[in-house]
Amino acid sequence: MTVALTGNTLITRNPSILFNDFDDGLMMMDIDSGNYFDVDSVGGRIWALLDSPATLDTICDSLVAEYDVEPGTCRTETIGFVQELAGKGLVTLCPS
Amino acid sequence: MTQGHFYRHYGFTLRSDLALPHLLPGDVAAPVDIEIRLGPIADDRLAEAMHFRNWRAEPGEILFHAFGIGRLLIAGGTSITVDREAGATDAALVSIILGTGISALLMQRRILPMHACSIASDSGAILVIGRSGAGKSTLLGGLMAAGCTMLADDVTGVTVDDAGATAIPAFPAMRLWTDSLSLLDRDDDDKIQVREDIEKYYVAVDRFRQDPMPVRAVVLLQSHSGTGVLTRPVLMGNRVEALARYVHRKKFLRGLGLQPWGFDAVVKLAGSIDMVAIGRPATGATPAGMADAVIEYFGLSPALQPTP
Repeated sequence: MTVALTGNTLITRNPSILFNDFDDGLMMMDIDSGNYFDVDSVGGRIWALLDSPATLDTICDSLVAEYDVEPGTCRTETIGFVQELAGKGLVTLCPS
Repeated sequence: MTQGHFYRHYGFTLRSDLALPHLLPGDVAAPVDIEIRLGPIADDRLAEAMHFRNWRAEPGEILFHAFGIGRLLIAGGTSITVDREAGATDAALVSIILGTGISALLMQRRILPMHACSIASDSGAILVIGRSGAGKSTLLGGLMAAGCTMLADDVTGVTVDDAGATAIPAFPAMRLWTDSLSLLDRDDDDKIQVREDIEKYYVAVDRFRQDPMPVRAVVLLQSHSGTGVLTRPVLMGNRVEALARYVHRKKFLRGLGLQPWGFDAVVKLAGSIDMVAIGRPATGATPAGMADAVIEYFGLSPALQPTP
């Protein structure tokens, strides 16, 4: 499943996901499927930024401010990560 | 109430209408934490609750039906009502009370029932998990024969807080498959048949620790097709899923509304311990050989107390 991601795409957490800090990142569990997912520290930071639904632009602005990363690289990698989350059903994407 | 049988089980004072062989004796004068009562359970009990194949539950209560044996109502972490079916033997009832019943009750008390046998080392408890048939009982038998001290033979209680995980011991007896019994030369008469259909037996153990202790490590027991006993670390990313699989009666967590708690507890357990996978060759492994692998990996030799 590939949804085109633009700067205005609203990213919303799936409310059925349990998560907890684990080993510098996050461990997640989908209580409907019973599947587990682990993400690294940057992935964990992105998940934290999704505490309430956020757009891709908002996420990337925060990450560029917090990490030593070039904006273009940040955007490309964030899009890849968010699409992976969407593909696994951990977030929903709403184009706007 | 002063009638019945009194025990100390997972640190709680337990009063039971039914005798529960091999449990630690309890203080008759102490306040009772858990009641096990024989009595009727209404057919429509928990009728509106979440239904599964042979059990139904809502937060705080679970009703479990063991076909041909009886029904258990486990409530509030404080009581198990047992409605026995005609023809059910005491041994079969005791088996489901101590297995399914106590595991559900531990969950209600926010204690993780880990389907793990466990031993004490000088730096904490070592739990052993693995699929049915992976050789947990055989390994435990080997460790006991080598002089280890047991905490639990089948289900180890685990509590988790910010300071880490704590193992809560069960009772001083272990179950052995009949082939393990003969392998270990423990085929004595001092045993109680618990489930006629699966031919398991309890034998009393003399080296048992009844005080809780920190959890040091979890051993994931596996079998492999090669030769020799293999040891490898379990990657952090795989630990949570591996541990979650061995929560005893883990599906009860959902019915009891305890999935978020159970997930948090397993994640914290996974993050606070050492975890190692030990592979048993499909043929040729002995209880002593498997025990040696564990003793060597954790450097247990100085703490062992060989049978005099």
